Amino acid sequence: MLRNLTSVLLFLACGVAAQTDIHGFGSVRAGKMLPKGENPKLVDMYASDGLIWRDETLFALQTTTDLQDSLRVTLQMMAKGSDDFSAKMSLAFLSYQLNPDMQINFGRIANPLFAQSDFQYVRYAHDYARLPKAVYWNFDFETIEGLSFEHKATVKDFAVKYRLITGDFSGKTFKSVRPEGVPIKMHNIINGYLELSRDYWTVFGGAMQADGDGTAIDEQLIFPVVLPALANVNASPAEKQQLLDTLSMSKRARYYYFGGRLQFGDWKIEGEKTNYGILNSADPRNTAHYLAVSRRFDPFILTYHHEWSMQDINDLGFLRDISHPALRQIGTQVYQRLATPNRFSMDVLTLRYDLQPGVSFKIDYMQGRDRQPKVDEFRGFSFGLDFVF
Amino acid sequence: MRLFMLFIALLLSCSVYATELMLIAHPNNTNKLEQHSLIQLYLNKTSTFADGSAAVIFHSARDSEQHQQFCLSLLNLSAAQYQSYWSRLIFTGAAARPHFVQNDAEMLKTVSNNKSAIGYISASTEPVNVRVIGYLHNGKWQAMP
Repeated sequence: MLRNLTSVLLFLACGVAAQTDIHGFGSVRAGKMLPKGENPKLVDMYASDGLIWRDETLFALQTTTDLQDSLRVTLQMMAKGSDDFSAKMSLAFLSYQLNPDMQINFGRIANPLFAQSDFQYVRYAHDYARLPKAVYWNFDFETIEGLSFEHKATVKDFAVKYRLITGDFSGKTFKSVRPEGVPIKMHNIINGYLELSRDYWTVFGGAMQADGDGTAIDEQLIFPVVLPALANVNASPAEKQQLLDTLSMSKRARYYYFGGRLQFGDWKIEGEKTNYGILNSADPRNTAHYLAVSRRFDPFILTYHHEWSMQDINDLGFLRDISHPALRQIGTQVYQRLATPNRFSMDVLTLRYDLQPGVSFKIDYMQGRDRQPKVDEFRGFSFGLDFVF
Repeated sequence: MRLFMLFIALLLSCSVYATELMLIAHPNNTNKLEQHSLIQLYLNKTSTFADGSAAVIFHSARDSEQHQQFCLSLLNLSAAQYQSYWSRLIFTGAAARPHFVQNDAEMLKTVSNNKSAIGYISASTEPVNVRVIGYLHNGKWQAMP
């Protein structure tokens, strides 16, 4: 705690000394789920008894310092209630402005997997209590070390924006399975985004590809399940090794998404569809989408959205090279064990009330269903303040 | 019942767009500025004029009627929605805090002294030393002839 406090004070002191622009954002939110219990899509969200105040509460500070006309440094620290308010450097990058419409960022930068990932924790920036969890799930590689290039341009009445990111990630994942996480590395990350807009509508799409080093995932999660089963199979060592290689998570991951939004008078429609997974591995392909409709009754905004996600456990194409029937059966069992049929859907009604500049109150009611028997039907609510300064 | 009907009639007769606004730029700024390009500039979809030079946008005070009218008329966003939108840009490092001025006199002074600046004032204010781009009248854009 003392270490965290010291970090924050140092962070602020640096900002003040350099005449830095200081911004911040946060959310203070309480909620409750009925029935309480584990819900894989709603990680760290109201799984305990009673009204929970800490799961979605967070605070962040950002400093931006101009070093020269075209060069500036941005540092962002965030403390999440779900992480016991440990302040962590969420972003730290140097920006170089090539011209007013072109910028390069170096350092710890956002790795947006989907259209709104890079500001998902700035809840004041959107009308949801939280971005749809079916898509904006708890990913561990939201920030990477690398560089990004952004360019804005206009073509006749249209505005075009694209962004390219490259870098590496080294950290831990699967914290929902193991609290201490499992180490993973991602190399050669290439992330692209393209947006086309005109007046009140926008369409967008993007993709991310990375070469994963999931050795620890294989050793800690996959092989302990496979090896005991392999011991009883009458197959050659080469055939067994081929199965292990096939199930391995050390493969290329690929994410893509597309969607759009339209503001028409007081109405807004927004939707996004995504597809992602580790190619040719025991990781089932994930698909997810959401569709939201909002109506402005200034200063209120009422939003209804439906979100949905599923893992495709019937696509066994990755086992095409495994000809031994018993090995193929083990591969199928492992795959389906990893991918429980967790088709998830949720309907959410959110009311936003803008109390004053930079502060909004939001209350939401959600109900949904996860096909996993341990979850099944659920409902819940939350309320709280989102703010920026 | 009559009173209620009168109240409804009064409500309906009150225009949401109570203020007419005038969009202004530096007098030496000869770039063609239309509704589309103004929307792009004020939503940070671009930060340059057609000739490639930098554009800097200015707003009336955040809590002013003019700012609320401007956001709604040109951008189809409430002032809160605009702040919400802009916060995405700040916290992704894509833009700095927007510039606000206190009144029309300060806006005129700022725009007349900065070739990159564009802003807006009340249509009833005399546009001294600035170029008038157009008007936002009853929520509709009218380009300067």
